[in-house]
Amino acid sequence: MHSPATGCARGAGCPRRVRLAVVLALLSLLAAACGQKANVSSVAAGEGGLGGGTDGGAFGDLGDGGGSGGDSESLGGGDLGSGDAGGGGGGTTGAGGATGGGGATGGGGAGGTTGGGGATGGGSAAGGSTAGGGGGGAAAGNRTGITDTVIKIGLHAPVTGAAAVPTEAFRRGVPVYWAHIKELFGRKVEVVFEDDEFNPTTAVRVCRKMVEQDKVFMLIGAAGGDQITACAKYANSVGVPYLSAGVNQAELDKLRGYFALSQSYLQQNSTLAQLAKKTTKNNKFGIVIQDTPAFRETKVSIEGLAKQQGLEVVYSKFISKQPSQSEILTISRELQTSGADVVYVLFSPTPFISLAQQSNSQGYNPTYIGPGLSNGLNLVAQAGCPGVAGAKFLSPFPQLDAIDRLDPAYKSAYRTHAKAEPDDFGIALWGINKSIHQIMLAAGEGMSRQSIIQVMESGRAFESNVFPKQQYSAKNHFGAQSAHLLEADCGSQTFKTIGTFVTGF
Amino acid sequence: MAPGDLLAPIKARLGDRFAVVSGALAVLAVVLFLFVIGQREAIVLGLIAGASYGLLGLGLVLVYKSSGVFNFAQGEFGTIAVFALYLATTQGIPYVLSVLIALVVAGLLGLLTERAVIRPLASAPRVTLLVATAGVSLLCIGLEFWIGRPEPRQVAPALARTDRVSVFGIFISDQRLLIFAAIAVIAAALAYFFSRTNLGLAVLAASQEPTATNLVGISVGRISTLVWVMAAVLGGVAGVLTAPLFGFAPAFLTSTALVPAFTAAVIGGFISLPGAFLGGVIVGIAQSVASSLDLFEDVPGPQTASLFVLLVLILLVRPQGLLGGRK
Repeated sequence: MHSPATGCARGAGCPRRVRLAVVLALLSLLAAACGQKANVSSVAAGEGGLGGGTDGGAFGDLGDGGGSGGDSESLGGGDLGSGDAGGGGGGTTGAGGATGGGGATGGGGAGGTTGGGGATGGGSAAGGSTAGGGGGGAAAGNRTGITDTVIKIGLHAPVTGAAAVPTEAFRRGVPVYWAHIKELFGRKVEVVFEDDEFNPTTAVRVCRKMVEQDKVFMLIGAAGGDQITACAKYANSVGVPYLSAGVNQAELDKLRGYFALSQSYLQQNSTLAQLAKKTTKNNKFGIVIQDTPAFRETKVSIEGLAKQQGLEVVYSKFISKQPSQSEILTISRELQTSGADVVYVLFSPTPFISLAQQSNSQGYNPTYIGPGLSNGLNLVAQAGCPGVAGAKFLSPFPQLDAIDRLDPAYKSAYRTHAKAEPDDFGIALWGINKSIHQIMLAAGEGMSRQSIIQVMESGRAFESNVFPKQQYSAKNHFGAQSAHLLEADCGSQTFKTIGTFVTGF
Repeated sequence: MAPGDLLAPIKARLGDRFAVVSGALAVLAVVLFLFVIGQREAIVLGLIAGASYGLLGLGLVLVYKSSGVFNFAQGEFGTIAVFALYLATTQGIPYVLSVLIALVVAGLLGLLTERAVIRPLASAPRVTLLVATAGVSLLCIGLEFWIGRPEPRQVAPALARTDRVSVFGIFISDQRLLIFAAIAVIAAALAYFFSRTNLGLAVLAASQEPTATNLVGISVGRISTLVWVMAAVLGGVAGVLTAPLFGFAPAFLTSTALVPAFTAAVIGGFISLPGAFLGGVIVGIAQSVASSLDLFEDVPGPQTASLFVLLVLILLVRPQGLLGGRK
């Protein structure tokens, strides 16, 4: 009997049409997986770039186009098409040409150190004394997101998806710092939060929403290299300052409007190579890094630095963003066979825990070390012990055992405003917001998107005593100079702070 | 004499089984080749991972064999069971009872899926049902995020010892041995069920001739319910046995095993229960080799690519799968 729906026999005989549908569905899943790659997200960011360009608000790129005010071609060019579409190109050293910038048709007025320009109107000189405005038509001190009563900032993080952070803890922690501060320049600070689902395409979408609909003043990325990169590129293209915890440098180091609030993975690698040397007993070093284009520089960097330390790099491979069980098994086994007793890991907590558990079940228990944010959270120790025992991670924020010493206000503020016991994710958010607070204070009550950039590039140091000290320049937007060192303690199933503001070993 | 002529008597003797035998020999040849080139560990790891994929694949095969539906919710039947196991054990309920509760929860989810989604769409094209099961999967993932929070978690294994058996230096934990045992028992039980019991034959009949089955007094609706509950319980078994090995989070089985399990089932023939296990082993070995060979070092996502290549190859060379028979 033939089914009228499929036109062929059901059940035991496999209908080719249905089989084809399954293949197409599987291919769709693979395509969806590809959607998580950073290069796909960059397409989306590129679209954002065009939109930003027509508003005349783009910051342009660092380095590439700078150097000579008045050279509209060099200043206007940028990865995101800012020159063509009108976003002002930003050079690092705009060198004071009479006309500081210039995209296709615009032109900043003042030249100066950072150049600038725009498409649809050309800024006047109002961008500031040291900058060409950077923002083209909207460059006259863009204060979008600041009203008489509120300063609105946007924050994105993955609270769903493959590398999710705890939703409740996150939502509780977001407003605590600003509730504690009460007001800034007579205004409340309101944090708009969006979940980026650990997906760069979603990150661009939610950042666009926060910029266009919520009208936030600036954007913050809490975690996730691919998402931060995608969103930062979009933000740069529309002239919105973007700050995040340090992740990769690739691509981000070209963006004028991006600043890392803590050390990038590259910056942490030097310390981690020294830590590996100090920790190893057999001098054999393994590396496992998430397979994403933005992390390739990190792999090359840590391999080189480890060799400089005299370590033997016996294993160095990428792992998928969402590895299958087979991949976890294989990598675990290969690491064991390689004999590495210290393993550098840079990928999200869930697969890290799986790898550590799998290795532990094989009697293989290396010391895991790594950079980053999320692998040093207590939930990793809770779910990963005993496999993660002794794991050491650099972190921009200290753990609960050290926060009282560094910032006694945190725990009481958390209890007061979040009405819950303080947690480590709250410390991360507290640290980010405290750093932003300092930057805003430095920019002054009349701050604009442009003046935020200027004050950060001015060389002034920002010290929150939670996140590491930051000092940026026009050429260096990765200004954090140290990190905290955390170690997994499986007795208490927490991470302990074994070093604060560490710069090396 | 042409080579084809040389094989003609063998083909005639083996009939439809020629393809199966030649496929099995080809797989054996590949395994031997891997052994010779020093990929012994890939074979063992493939077996270990393949058992997990095969266990999940059994549920896929059961549903397809019985209703012609590709069930994209199979992974979530298992993950929901894992969450139930976790919640039960953290409430201090004894482990065995917690496992039973988890399997009951999975079974109830299967029942709910059948009554709320599958039965109303019974006369719809199979592709519609496929999409509907994907919807069930997404709903379950959403529930897991909502209720269970998106944190990585651990559940204890049923058997904790890890160093009893070693093959080529790789420890195969007791929990993994339990998976091998489970897959063997379940595959044998299902094979017996479909070939030797009236109820099993009724399931097949309802799949192939629903109208005639109804006419002889067998309720196709009840058969459908039975199949979906069985499939969900199988998913639950896969979840509670696999999760202790890796830890889990929302969408655990869907994200780490569903696509390989689907590929395994297609390779196996999608109607063959032993084929699901064989396919799982082949997928596991292919992924292990793709990950370990330096040849693929610069290929992004070599494991995913290996799945794709396998799937395309098997559909081109033997669309009915290795053990699918010529139907």
